[in-house]
Amino acid sequence: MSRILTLPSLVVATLLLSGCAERRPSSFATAPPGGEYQRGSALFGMPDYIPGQGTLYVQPRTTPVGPFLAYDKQGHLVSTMYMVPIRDLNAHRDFQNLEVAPGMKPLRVQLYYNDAHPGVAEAHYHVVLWYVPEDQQPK
Amino acid sequence: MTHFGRGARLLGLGLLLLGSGREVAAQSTAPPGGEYRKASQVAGLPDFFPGLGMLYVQPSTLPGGPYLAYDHEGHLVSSVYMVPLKDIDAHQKLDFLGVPDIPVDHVDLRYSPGHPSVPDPHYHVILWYIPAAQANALK
Repeated sequence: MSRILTLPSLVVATLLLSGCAERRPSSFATAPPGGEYQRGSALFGMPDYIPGQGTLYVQPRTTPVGPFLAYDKQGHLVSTMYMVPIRDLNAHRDFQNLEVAPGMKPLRVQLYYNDAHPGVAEAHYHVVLWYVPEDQQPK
Repeated sequence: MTHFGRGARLLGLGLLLLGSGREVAAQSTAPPGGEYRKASQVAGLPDFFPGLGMLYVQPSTLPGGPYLAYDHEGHLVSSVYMVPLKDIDAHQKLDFLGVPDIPVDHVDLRYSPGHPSVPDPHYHVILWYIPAAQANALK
């Protein structure tokens, strides 16, 4: 027993357990996300990097609502974002089974108003699942 | 001190460090503990909210939430954030903290005409931790 429960083995076990408690790795965790995702800048003429949001990728078939996957300047996934037209909200439209970045654990949920911009031609709300603390949001 | 004794202390420290992270295990089964209370007791909601489950909420975060939703077996199935349409129409920015440290499977945005705790028309932003087929089967 003492040979099994040596100090190094317990250190390794503890670190492994600790690793399991962190966010699960996701193939979407670094840019580019792959699959059907394409840069919002290439699809809609959005800026390549949007202050406060990052570099956005989206699957064309899911626009305008998304999900949009947002990456910081180092290519790390920082959020999943939905852009929901206010017209649809005031029409009481439901949005069900919206995709997310698989395996990611949001730290907080944020909603805020946005005017029309390339990619979403009318006033809308951003619904954001943030994966990083506020001080690590893209500047 | 024996290898076992030192190892056991180290493992204990590791587990304490794990415990200091976001409350995963504590919230994954009902009741979630901490300041969470049954929404049926503190917010007048049904004991089992159709389509969502058994809801728990911290009174300090009423009316927006987060609400933690559990199935009949007491497994966490979603976290829910309630957003009044009047706040959307007023272009308010809303932040919800205390999101469970669990990977999100998919997201729903569902209109609600109002109910106890949020009498005005509002949206449920639902972060589901189970597949859509299971979520749709919640009665």
